[in-house]
Amino acid sequence: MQMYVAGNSFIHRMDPRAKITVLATILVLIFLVSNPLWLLGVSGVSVAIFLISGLSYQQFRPLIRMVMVLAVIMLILQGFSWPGERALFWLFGRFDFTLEGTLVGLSVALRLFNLLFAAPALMVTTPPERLILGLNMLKIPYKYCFVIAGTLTFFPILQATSDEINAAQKSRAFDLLERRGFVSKLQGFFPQLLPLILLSLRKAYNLQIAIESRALGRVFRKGTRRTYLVEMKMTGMDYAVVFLCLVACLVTIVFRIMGYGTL
Amino acid sequence: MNDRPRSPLISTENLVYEYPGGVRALNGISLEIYEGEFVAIIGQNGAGKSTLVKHFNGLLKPTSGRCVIASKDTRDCKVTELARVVGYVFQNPDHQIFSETIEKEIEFGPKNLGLDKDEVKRRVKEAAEAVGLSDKLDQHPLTLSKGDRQRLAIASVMAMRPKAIVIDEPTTGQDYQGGQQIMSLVTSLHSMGHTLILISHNMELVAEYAHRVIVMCGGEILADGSPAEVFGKPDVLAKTFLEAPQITRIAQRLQIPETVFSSGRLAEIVLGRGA
Repeated sequence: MQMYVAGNSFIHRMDPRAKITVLATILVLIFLVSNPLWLLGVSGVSVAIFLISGLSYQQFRPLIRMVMVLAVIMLILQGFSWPGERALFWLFGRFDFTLEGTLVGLSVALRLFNLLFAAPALMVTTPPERLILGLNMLKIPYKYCFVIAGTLTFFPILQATSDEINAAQKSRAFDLLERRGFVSKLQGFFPQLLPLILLSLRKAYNLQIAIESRALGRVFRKGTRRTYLVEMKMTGMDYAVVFLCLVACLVTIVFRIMGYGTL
Repeated sequence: MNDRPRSPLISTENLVYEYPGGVRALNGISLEIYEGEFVAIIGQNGAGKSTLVKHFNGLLKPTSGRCVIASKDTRDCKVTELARVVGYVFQNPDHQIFSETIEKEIEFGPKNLGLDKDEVKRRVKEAAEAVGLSDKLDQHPLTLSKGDRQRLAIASVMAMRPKAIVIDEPTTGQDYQGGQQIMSLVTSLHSMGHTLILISHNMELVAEYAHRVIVMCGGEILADGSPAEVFGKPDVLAKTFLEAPQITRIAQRLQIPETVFSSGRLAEIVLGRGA
């Protein structure tokens, strides 16, 4: 999984703060409304963002497939478990698959679908350090920004470490993929996972020492203003996007209060 | 042992490797390594040393060109098969250690080869003895020092009795004595009959122990020969920002024609001259 995909699309050029606003807006919208038709509308926006960002569908296919499976599971679970009235069909004569459940399942699936397209399109188009800078400029406390930055940078490191471990164990004639049988496969995870966990713990511990010895969080006391190496300026376009987002939020909230958008 | 003694154990022909994304790490490497050799590969970070040796047990497959191990093209082999022929000791032993005792860690490889219990036991004993860990077999590997964990990693690979062993940077983070100990272990592996391929940054140790030195730079082989030949060409080394061992450079400054690797030898020459 790549943390940053370079490019020069409209999304790439947007200010991180505007991107964070768009993502937050999409989150607000998909959790305010529960009507699948309305959610489908929001999905249109998410897919459009994905297309504009110029990211390759190919690259996200494994992730998309995984979410598809999740969505189907959601649909089945909700269909059977939601306390609805109108049954679509029965299983063994007693388990109702209800219309209401189907709709709830659909809306959960659509929410996943939205996040799936919008979140990577907005996040992967921003270099992690700019994203963090954006959060920081939005007055999010530095410590929280650091936690997010730490998490983001940890993924590629984990991936690299995991690859190295995999190569080392393969060199000792061990390959998880060549194992047959459930128990054997399960046992096969130990040579792969244990070194990874140990190394990650050690890395996290060392990171803690490293940041504490550089006095994290001590410099920006109350009243001191931080200056930035890279100054980011919001352009007119960015402000327009933020404005649009606010309008969308407002309109949705008003409609929601009036009683639209629900099931 | 070998019906065709002159066919190399490892050979590459015009080997090119590009990492996904298009970075060319190896740019047409052709070399042959025969059974029983003790080869050191040196070069700057990013010269392609690790990328090259990762082809020797099939962890990487050539983008173009060929890599042949024991008369088999690596493209047709799995790493787990090639592991019988070429063992690979990784730089950081912590990337492989996962067992709760040293014994279990060493027996992991031989067990994967499907050997029977007695044979596994025998090999564990032999490997532990070779690296000097036989009295610690039931200890937890993480109680060991970094140097000892390195030895454990070497033992766990040699217990599979591969014909050749690749060792990536065994002396990093070791002091002089630690480096010497690892190198004498490596030398003893060689005298046991393993072909050795060593990646190292430590010119002193390379000059002292290896029989053949390959200098890599920018994905190509810059020089290939005996330590005396390679370290006798300071201009070639300078291209890769490497330097011959200090003692060799002192001798070169003194305009001694021989390529010297030990202070003892230099003293002999100088005193011999003075006498």
